[in-house]
Amino acid sequence: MTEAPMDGIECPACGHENISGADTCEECVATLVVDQIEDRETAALQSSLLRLGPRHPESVDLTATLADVIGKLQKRNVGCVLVTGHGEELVGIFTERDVLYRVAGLIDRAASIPVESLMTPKPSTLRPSDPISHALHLMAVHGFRHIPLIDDDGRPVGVVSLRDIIRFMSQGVAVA
Amino acid sequence: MRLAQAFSETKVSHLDLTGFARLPASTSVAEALEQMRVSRSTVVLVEGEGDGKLVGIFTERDVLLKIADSTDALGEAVSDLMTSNPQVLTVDDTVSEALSLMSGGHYRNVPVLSESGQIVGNLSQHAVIRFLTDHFPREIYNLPPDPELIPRTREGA
Repeated sequence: MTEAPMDGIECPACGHENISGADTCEECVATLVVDQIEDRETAALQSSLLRLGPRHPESVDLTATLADVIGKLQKRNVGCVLVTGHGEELVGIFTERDVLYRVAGLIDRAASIPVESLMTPKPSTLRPSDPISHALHLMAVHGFRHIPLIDDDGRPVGVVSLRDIIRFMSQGVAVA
Repeated sequence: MRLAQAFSETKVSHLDLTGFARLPASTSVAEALEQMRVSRSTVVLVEGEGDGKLVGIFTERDVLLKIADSTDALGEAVSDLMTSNPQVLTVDDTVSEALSLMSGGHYRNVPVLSESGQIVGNLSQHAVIRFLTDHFPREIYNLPPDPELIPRTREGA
């Protein structure tokens, strides 16, 4: 009779091969108990959007022109610009995708066109205290790449992007 | 199933790799824009003449940076404005590998090639997010237990 090959447990955090039945990883001390891992992953997705380190929004007011917002998108290396009203409240969003679908090759007088005519009014928003899972849901269902975060007065305080979520997935959920 | 395990065991070929335009290198920028609008995609995988091998990628970021201000480039070939020799994944790479490549390189789109180097599809950030929400609704939507919600008496008539 030959001995059966040892069936070990691979640590999800560091990849170390542990002996079967171990509760914690010999290498990095992460838990190997399935229920605890699932709880921890679920908890990570329920933590607040602040954990993603949302970036400060680039914004313009309603009087800005198309040339102004395109300039911001190009120079600030962002994918969206938020548009605010008289009370600094969020009234619209203008994204790189709008440039592709509505501007490039179609409009060549950008300096004379108000952003208001091409922005998406009343975008979906979240609060910084909302869970990461809500942003995931909005992005998956509606195809959003950016979700503005607003305060109690409707003023923009941040932007969560797909990139933030991807970074969180590659580090946060798998390892944290 | 655990997310981390699913990421390391699922191959990118199991994700949605559709949603891109595929055009020859000699296509004009104007035509590429039209194709992106018609197909509602934000990325063009550019293939070499004849052999169909990937030679570059042209995305909405290129549109923003190179075409938004000026119509001069509309008549040029898309190969003049694309990013040549982009980072790629192959069908056997895992979601974990895709995540670290996309996160590390800030790539929104990564072309996926077969073992023989043929274009199979494009992996977008959205496809990764949808994989997550489609396969792990419990992990995503489960709220932490709230003791206030636990019934104090047994249910039933």
